[in-house]
Amino acid sequence: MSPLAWLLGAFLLAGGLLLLQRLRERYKALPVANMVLWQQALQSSQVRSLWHRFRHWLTYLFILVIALLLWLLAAAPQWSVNDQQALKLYYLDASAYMTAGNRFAEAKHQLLADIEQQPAANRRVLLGDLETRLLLREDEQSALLPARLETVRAQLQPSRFSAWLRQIQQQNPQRPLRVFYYGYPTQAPLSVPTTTLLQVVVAHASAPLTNNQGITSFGKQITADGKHIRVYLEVAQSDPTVTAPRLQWFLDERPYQPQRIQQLATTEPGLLRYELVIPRSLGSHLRVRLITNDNFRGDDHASLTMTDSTPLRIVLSEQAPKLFMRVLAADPGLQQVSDAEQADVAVRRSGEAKSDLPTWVIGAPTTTPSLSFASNSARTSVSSPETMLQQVFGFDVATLTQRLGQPPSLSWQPQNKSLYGQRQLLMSPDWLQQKSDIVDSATFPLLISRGLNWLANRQSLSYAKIAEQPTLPVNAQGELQLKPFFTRTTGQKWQQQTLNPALLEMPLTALKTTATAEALAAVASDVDSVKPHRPLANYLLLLVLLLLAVEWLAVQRGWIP
Amino acid sequence: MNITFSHPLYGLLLLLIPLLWWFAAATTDWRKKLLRSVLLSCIIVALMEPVGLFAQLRSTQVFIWDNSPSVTTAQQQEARASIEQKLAQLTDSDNAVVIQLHPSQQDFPVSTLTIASQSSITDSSSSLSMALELALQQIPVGEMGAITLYSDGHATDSHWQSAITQLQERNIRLHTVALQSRSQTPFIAALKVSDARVTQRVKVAANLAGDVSLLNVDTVQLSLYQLAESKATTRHPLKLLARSPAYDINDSDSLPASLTLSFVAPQADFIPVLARLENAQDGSPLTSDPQQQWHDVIAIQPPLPLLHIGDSSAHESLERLLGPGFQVTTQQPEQFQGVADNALVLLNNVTASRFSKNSQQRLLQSIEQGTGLFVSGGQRAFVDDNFASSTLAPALPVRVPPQQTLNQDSIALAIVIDSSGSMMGDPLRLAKQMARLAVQKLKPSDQVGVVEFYGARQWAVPMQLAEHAELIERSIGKMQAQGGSTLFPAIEEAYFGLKNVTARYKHLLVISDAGVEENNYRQLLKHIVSENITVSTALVGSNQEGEQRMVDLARWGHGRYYSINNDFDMVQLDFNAPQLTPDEIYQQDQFNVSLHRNDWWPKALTPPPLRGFIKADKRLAATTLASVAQQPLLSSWQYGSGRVTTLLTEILGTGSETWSDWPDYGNWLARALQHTAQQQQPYQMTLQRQFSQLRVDITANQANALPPQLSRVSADGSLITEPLTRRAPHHWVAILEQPSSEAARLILQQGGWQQFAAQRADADLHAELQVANWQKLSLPALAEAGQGQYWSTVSDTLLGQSLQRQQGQRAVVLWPWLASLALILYLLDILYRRWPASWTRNGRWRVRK
Repeated sequence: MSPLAWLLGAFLLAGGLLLLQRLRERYKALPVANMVLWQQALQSSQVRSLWHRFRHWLTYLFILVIALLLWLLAAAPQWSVNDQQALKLYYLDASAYMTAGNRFAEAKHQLLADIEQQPAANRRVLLGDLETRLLLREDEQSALLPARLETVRAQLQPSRFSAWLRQIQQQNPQRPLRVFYYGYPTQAPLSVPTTTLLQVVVAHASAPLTNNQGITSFGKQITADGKHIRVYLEVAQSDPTVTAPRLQWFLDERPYQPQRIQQLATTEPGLLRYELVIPRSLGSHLRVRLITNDNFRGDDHASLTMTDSTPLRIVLSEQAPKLFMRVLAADPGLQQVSDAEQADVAVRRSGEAKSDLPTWVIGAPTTTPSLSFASNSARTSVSSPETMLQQVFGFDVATLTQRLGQPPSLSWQPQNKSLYGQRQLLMSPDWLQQKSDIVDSATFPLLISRGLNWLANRQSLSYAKIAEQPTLPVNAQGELQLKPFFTRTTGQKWQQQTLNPALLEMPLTALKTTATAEALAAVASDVDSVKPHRPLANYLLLLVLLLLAVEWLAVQRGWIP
Repeated sequence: MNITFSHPLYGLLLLLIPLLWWFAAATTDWRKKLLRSVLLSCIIVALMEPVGLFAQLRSTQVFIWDNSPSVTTAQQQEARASIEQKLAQLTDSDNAVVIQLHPSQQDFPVSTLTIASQSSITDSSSSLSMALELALQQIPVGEMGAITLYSDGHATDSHWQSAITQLQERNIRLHTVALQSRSQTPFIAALKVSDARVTQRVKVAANLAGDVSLLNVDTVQLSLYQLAESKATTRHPLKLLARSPAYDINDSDSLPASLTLSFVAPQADFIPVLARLENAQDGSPLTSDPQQQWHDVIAIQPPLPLLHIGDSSAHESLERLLGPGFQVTTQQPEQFQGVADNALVLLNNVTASRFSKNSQQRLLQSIEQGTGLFVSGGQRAFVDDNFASSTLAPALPVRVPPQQTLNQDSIALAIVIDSSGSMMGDPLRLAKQMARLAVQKLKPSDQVGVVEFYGARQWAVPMQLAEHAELIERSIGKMQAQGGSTLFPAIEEAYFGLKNVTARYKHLLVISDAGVEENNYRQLLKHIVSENITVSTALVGSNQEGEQRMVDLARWGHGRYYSINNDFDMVQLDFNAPQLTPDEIYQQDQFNVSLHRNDWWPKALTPPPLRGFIKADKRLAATTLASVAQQPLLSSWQYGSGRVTTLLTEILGTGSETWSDWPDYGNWLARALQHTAQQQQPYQMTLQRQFSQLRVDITANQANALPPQLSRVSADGSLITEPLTRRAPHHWVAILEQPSSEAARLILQQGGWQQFAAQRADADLHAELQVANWQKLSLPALAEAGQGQYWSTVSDTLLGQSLQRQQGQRAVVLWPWLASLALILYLLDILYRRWPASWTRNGRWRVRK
C-alpha cells in the first residue's frame, strides 16, 4: 500500500470515528408531568445525535490511535531496501564433512531458527552443494524453507564455499555482503578477512571430527609386463600413534587378502602409504574398506576399476578387410557389432562413408607399407612416429621390418581440431596382403588388437576420484565429461563409470581437525551476531492488544463512553 | 492449503480471552463481548505470524541476454524485445530473472543480473558458462524452471560442463535462440608451439580465423616477438624472433588454416612472446588493439643431458662443438655405472676392452627402455679392438664384421708307401687308399710325389703338381707288394725330392706296416724337421710290434701317427691349412659425403669430404642418413624403445679432421644427437586452467619412477615449491591458485633432470571478438542437451514457447489480513456501541444505551 493511500484511509477512519464519537450518550433535563409524558419525553429526547457540540476529545483520540494502528498493521509496512544495504546470504554447507553424524540436520535446524527471525527482504538462502543452489529467494517467505530443506542432504563432495564466495563477490563488487555460514568450518570460512564489503560470520559451527581416519588416495598403475597392477593407498589419521590401520579388501566383491602389502616411507605425521601388487588376471574391480571407530564414513572406502573386461565393440564396414573378422573372432577382448551406434571403434576403407568413431582406415596402396597416426592428444606427448609405434603396438621398427620385408613408412596425420582428440590409424593395404609375412605371423592379431585398443583409448581411471555426479561418465583423468555434443565431431564415446563416491578430493581431513577446533573457539563469539530480528509489526500488535484491553476495561467501568 | 505459524507460542495469549468476559459489566451485551473476543483473537493470531502455503502452478523463467560486443546491435535489440515480450506473458505466479552479459543502459522490468568479467586482460570477455551457472542459481530447489539463452554462441571460455551437468540433473530446460554475430577481422585463434630444447628449432603454428574480406591489405604474415616483461601492464616488443612467409590473400577467399614459423631457441628459459598478424608489405599490425594480439609464454627445455663415454680429453672439444644445447657429462668407460638421468649416451671411439661386458649389458637395457645411443669411432674402436663383435654389437644399425681374406698356402706332399712283400693284401690296399685320399685333398697348385719301397726305392709318382689327381691315383693303384722293406733310403729319397720343391708347407707321409729295418731314423728325421718338413706316419695292418716304431717316427718328425687297421679306421688326411688375414676396413682417402634424411637437418647442409671411415654393412631395418662411396656413414634405427645411431668415423679424429673447418659441423652433429636422444620425457605434465585455478597432472612414463619436485616461478622470478599429492603409483596432482592475469611457469625436477612447462595468462579464455567458429558453443546441441528448443532466429521464438509450470507452493503472509479483519471488527464494535436506536419487535426504533 502506498503511503498516500494509507493516509487517505487514515483520514476516512478519523472522520468515521468522529461521527461515531458524536453519537455518544448525553442526558438532557426535561420536566415532565406524568408517565405518558415520560414516554414521550424519552422518545423525543434523542440520546444520540450527530448535531451537537463535539466533546470527549481524549476518548476520540484514544480510539483513533487504536484504529490507526490497526490500519497501519493492515498496510504491512516494511523497511525499504536498496542495493546499498548489505545483502545477507545464508550458506548451508552440504559438503562431505556434514555427512558425519547429525551435523547436517543440526545445521538445518539452526538455519531454520535463524531465518524465521529475519525479514524476507535482502536475504537469500543457499545450499552449499557443488552447484550452490538457491533455497530461498530474497522475497520468499521463510515458511517455504522447511519443505525445501526436506529434499536436500549433504553429499560426499568437496566444499565449494571458497569458490562460491569469490563468485558472489565478483557478482556484487560494490554491494556489502554479509555471509552467514552454517556448516563445518574448515579454513575457508575462517580465513576470510572482514572488509567493508564482506563479512563472513560462522553462524553455526558443526562439531569437529575427532580421531578421524580416512583414505585420501587410492590409485593404480599397470606394471611394465602388463600382467600385474601396482596399487597405491594412502591413509590419513588425526592420531599419529596409530600405525596399522585395519583394512579390508574386496576383489569383484569377494573378500581378498593381498599377499604382501608394502608400507612406503613418509615424512608427514599421521600419513601412511602403502603399495601392493595384484595379478591382473584375478579380477577387475578392487575395493578397500577402512575399519574405524570414527563417525565419518565418507572417507572409509574407495574403489578402482582394475581392468575393463568388457569386450571392445568394433563395427566393420562392407569393404573392411576380412582379416579383421578373423582377428575379432579369435580375440575374446574384441566383439564385432553391426550397429555403429553401439560400436567403440570403426574399420573401413578409404572412400567409404566416414563416421564419428575412432577409425582404422585402410588407405590407398603406397610404394612402401605405411602407417599414419592421427591424434591431437597423443601428438603433444610423443614427437616421433617410431616411438608412437612402440607405444601403440609394442613393436619396434626392426620387428615390423622383418615381418613386412621392408621398413614401414611411419608418419603423423594432420587432424581436424576437435575437443576430444578423435584418434585415427591410416594403414596402407600392403600390410594385409596375403603374400606379406605379417598376415600369417603371430604378431598380426596382436597388432590388430593393440591398434584397436589404442583407437578406443579405453583407459580406466588411474586413481579413485570423487565424482561430482557419480552416475555421469568420466574420462581417464577422472574429469567429468559428457558426450561432446557441442562440437560437430562427437569423438569417442566415454565410458559410463559409476564411481564409489567415497574418496575425498580435498586436503587431509583428519589432520585439519585439531586446528579447526582451536579456530572455532576463537570465532565462537561471531555466532551471537546472528541476532533475531523482531519485526515492527510484532510490537505494534502487542501495543494494539494492550490498548484494546485497556479500552475494554475503560468502557466496562464507564470511564469512556 | 497449509498454515504454519512462525511464533506459535503467542497462541498462549488466547487463554486470556475468558478474562475479557470476567471483567465485563453485567449489563454488557453478550454481542459486544463476542465482538471484542474475536477482535482480540485476531490480534493474537496475527502475533503468531501465520503463513499460508497454497498450491500453485508456478515456474521460474531465466533469460540470458548476450549483449556482448560480438553480437550485432540490431540482434541485441531484437533479443531484448523478445525477452520483454516473453516477460509480458508471465503471470504473477511466475518468477523471472534476466541475466545480461554486459551492463546496459536500460533495465528490464524484472530482477536483472550482470555477469562480471573473468579476465583482467581481456576486459571485454563475457562468460556464457558463468551466465548458465548463475541462471541455474536463480531457480530454487524443488521448483520448475527454464532458461532461455539468446546468444551467438561465442563463448569466451569452455567451462560449461558443470552447468550442463546441473541442467540434466535438475531437469531444467534450456532453450537457445541464435543471434547473429559480427564479422571478425582475422585473428590468431590458437598458437601451437612444439617442444624444444635450447638451440633446437622451435616450430610455431598459429591457427587463424576471421573474415578475410574485412582486410584491406594484400599480403599477411605472422610475426613472433620476444617481449620484455615489465611491471607495468604494457609490454614492449624486444626483438623479432621469426616471421612467416607472406600469404597473399588475393589468391583465396579465405585465410589459410594456419601460418607457421620457426626460430632457434636461444636459451633454456620461459620466453614471453607476442604473436601478431601483420601487413607483409610494411610490417604494420593488422590491428592496433593490443588485446587483439596473442601473448604467450614459450618454455624452452634445458639442454639435453648427454653422457659422453670416452676420453676425458675430448670433453671440452665436444662441448665446444655441440654448443649450449647439450649438458655433457664425461665418464671413462671403466667408470660407467649407469645412464642415470641422461637422455643420450655417446660412445666416442671406445674400445670394447675398456667397456666391460656388464656395462654394455646395462647400457643395452637402458636403450631398450628408451635411452638413445650414439656410437662413433674409427679404427681404434671398430678395427683394432673389434668393438663390432662386442655385447653391444646387435644393437648397432650396422654390422662391422672383421673382414678377412682366406689364404690357402701351397703344400708339397711326399708319400712314402711300403710296397714290400709284407704289405701284400689288405695292408697295401689300405695304404694305397689312404694315399689316394690324401691326394684328393690337395689343390691343383699343390705338389705331390709317391715313393714306394720294396727293398729298393723308386718314385712311383715323381714330385709334380697335383692337378692331374686321377693319373696320380692310377699310378698309386699300380703298386704291387714285392721284396723287402728298406724304409730309410725311401725316406731319404722323399726328403731329397721335397727339399728341392718350393712350397709353403712340406709334408712327408710314411705308410707302412712297420716291418722295416732298424736304422738311425731319429737323426734323419731330426734333420728333415730342421728343413721345415713334417713327417707323419700311418700304420696299416695290425703289427703291434711296429706300432711303437711308427709312433716314434711321427714324434721325431713332428707329425701325427695314424693307425689304419681296416677300412673303418681310414682317414682322409688334409694337409691344407687355410689362414684368414684381415682386410683393410678403415678406408682412408678423400670421400664425398651424401646426406639423405631431410627431416633431420636442412637441405642446404653440404659437408666437406671425409678423410676416413669404417666400411660396414647396414642392417635391413636401419636407415642410412649419410653415406660415403655408397657405404653407410651415419645410420640409425629403433632398438626397443630407444634409438641407436652410428657414425662410422671419429667425431674428433683423423677421419673427420677435414670437418673441423666446416662451420655447420656442430649443428649437424647436434641434430643427429638430438634425433637419437630419448624422445619421451620421463614425466608428462598436463596443465588445466579454470579461471584462477590451475591443475597440474604429472604422470611418470616409466615404472618405479621417483616422486618429482614441482616449483612455480612467481611473477617476481622467485621459485616457490608446490606440494604434490600422489594419487597413483605414477600420478601426482597439484592444484594451484594462479591468477588469470599471470602466465603459469612451472619447473619439474627429479635428480638432475628438469622439465619446463608454461601456460599463457587467461589460457582458458578467449577475447570477446576472437572466438573461432570451432570454439563456438553449439546452440542446437546445447538445447538438445537441455531438452529444450532451438530457434535459429529471434523471430522464430514468436511461434510460441509454452511455459511449463509445476505444482509448487506459494507462501502468503496472513497477519496483515488478520490486522485488517481486526480493524473491521473494531469499527463494528464501536458502531455497535454508538448506534442511536435499535429495532424493536413492534417494528419501531427504540433508544439504546
